[in-house]
Amino acid sequence: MSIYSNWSSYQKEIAEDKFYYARSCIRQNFFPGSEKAFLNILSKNLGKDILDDPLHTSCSGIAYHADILPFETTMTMVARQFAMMTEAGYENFVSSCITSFGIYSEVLETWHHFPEKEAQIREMLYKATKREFKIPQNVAHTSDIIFKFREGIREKGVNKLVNIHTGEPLKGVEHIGCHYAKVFPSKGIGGSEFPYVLAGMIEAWGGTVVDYPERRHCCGFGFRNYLVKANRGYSVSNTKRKLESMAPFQPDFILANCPGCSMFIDKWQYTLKQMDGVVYGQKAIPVLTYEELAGLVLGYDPWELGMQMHEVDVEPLLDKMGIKYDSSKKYEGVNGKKIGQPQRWEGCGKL
Amino acid sequence: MYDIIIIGGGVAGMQAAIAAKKLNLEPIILEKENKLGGKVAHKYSLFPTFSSAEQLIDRLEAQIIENKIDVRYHCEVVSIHKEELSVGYTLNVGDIKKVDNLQARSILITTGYEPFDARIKQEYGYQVYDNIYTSMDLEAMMKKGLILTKEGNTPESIAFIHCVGSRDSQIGNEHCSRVCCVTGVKQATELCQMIKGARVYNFYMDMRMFGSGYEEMYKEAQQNYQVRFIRGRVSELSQTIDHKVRLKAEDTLISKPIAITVDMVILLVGMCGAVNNESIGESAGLELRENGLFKPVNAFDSTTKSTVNGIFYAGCAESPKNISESMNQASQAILNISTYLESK
Amino acid sequence: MVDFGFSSYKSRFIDLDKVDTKLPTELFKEDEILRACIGCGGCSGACTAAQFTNFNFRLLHTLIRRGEYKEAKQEAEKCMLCGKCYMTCPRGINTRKIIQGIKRIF
Repeated sequence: MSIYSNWSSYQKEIAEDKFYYARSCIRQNFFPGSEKAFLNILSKNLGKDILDDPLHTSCSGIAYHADILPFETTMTMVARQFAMMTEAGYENFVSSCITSFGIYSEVLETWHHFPEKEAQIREMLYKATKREFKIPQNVAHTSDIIFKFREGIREKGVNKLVNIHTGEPLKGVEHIGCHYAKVFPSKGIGGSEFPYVLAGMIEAWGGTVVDYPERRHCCGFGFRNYLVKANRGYSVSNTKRKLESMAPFQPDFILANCPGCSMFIDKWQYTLKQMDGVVYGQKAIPVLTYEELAGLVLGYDPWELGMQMHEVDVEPLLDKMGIKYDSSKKYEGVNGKKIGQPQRWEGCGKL
Repeated sequence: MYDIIIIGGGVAGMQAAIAAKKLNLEPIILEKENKLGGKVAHKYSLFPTFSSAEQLIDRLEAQIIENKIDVRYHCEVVSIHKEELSVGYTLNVGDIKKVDNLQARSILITTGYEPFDARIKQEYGYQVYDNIYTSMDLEAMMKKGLILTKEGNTPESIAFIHCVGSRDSQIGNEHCSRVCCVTGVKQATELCQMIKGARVYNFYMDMRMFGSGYEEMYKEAQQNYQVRFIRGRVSELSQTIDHKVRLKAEDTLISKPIAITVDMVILLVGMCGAVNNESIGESAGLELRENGLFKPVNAFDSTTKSTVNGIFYAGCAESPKNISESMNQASQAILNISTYLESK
Repeated sequence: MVDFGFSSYKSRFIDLDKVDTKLPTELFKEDEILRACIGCGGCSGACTAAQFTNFNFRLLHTLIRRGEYKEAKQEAEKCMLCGKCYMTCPRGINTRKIIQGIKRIF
């Protein structure tokens, strides 16, 4: 029998409490409120212990996948992350980025099969930093944590994924991202064929999941694709293929798992409008991170969640959910300082 | 005491019983359903002649009655005692289950096959998506004379997918089920006859037209019915918003990926061992093939003989076969049984 | 050399007499089941890379088996190792391993 037998009911082990948090390199620029929201949801709404450690670094995944760093360097950087976790007294590692999550899984799998590699990296880390580390008890992606506590979020929630005008559940497209479960199927809820991590959230919070033909297709992000301008057409073509396939279903929002996917599915909609003149959906389709969606359910202010930084405006979705927001505050920063307005296009609520 | 217990009243079992009577042997058929005919009784028509499956079963049944052959219905055989040459069976009538056994001088296993459970091939979405049916489902639809999509429309485009559950290491079936190719050609031709202007596609890996008249059917389907044959194994199916089915494959003859949206998909499901083969095999010490069918003593002059004295095979219980092969093997089995009984 | 203004053509035949069979054998070591490929195209039908490039796993390894090594390595670079082909392959060929092997051997 194949190793790919039925994954549909597959669940992975996720720790209950006491998390060491590792941030993503790019999310703070493109979806700046998401990571803050995650920390707030976990510590304030759910009462969990989570450490946001300023001492940790990038996992170096971007450089690794772009063939800039050798694997040994990446492994040593990962070892340092684990050392920071160990020194802080934590054992459950949570990564806010699926590429990092893929990197951590890959490094741990490598050490599992090649213990001499682990020994070598331990030595390299010690020589460079005098630090030592313990292997984490549990490595999870942030969406795994939100998934685990989805029922609790629903219970504490004030908003539902229901269209308040029609009473119908909102239709969500979910996109899990390649490095979440396509690298190691057993590291993702439902494996790579029955991804349930985001679908489970949408369903728990009252929405329905759109099952469209290109559901499992990659967004096209790919480090080698978008980093080199000449290859960027490849990246946008893949997102286009997905958007074309999902558009007839008229989804109310897209929920993405990966920093790259959420960024590109959002921003390519603008690019495609400018390039081909095509808008998918009535006024483009808002793209959300799972923290943003959880935040909306829990009643967070959309601008506090950083949703003004999206290329596609989220107001149509907020209106459907019946969420109040102050349009005049949209482009005000924390101290009321104007943060500047983006160029208007058809993906915006009003031109 | 009966001379032969025949397990399964499909075409092989019926033919064996009739042949036994001709040699003055006393057979009894144990049939698990409430009628004879096995899988053939569920079919609409037969290749390569397009003649009625029902008529064949009627002809055989008439001979069963004429020869006064004993048949016990609702009898599901679950084990064989090889020293006694007796079979253990459950009699299922309504909710009542009665366990019993029956002894005879010899046993012929004609348990046929079980169609591959298409749900196992998850990427083909059977019973997940609408408008995806198996070749067995299509025969039933043809019998009713109603080929309709779930929405109640006549399909204008239909795609057949070959080798579903056959030649597939991923789900553990290495064997070729042989008859699916020609079933695809037959059903494609019939759909073209039944639905004016239908566009019918066959996605195949190899077209194995092994029987007499099969290649001619294939040519006829290409030439006179414009059935489109595309050489590529379908990689995945998905549902479109209007409940049609989207297929993805490679057209291997031009080396390009290919996709098409059709109103209906038919999965040509292969043959697997009958449900009770395992328990029967284990109880009697019979060797099973990897595909769950029974393995005979050798593949040439003893295909009906098992490794246990007094137990014989015929039909698809032994290997995938068409109807004529099954019936011929049944006659051969009776000849071998007769020789065996005389030598005792 | 005399330039007559024309030249003889290079034969398009794959001349199996001249094919070095050592390299394909080396590739088979990655996963021996590759020998049993049916050429069904399930891999290339499912392939993400094939959507917008001419990458074709079935064609690639078949070319190698016929001694057409020239572009093999370059072609293999187009693979993103996502493993979808591995899941559809009816023979269960470890396609990722083969791609890695092509990159190493050729």
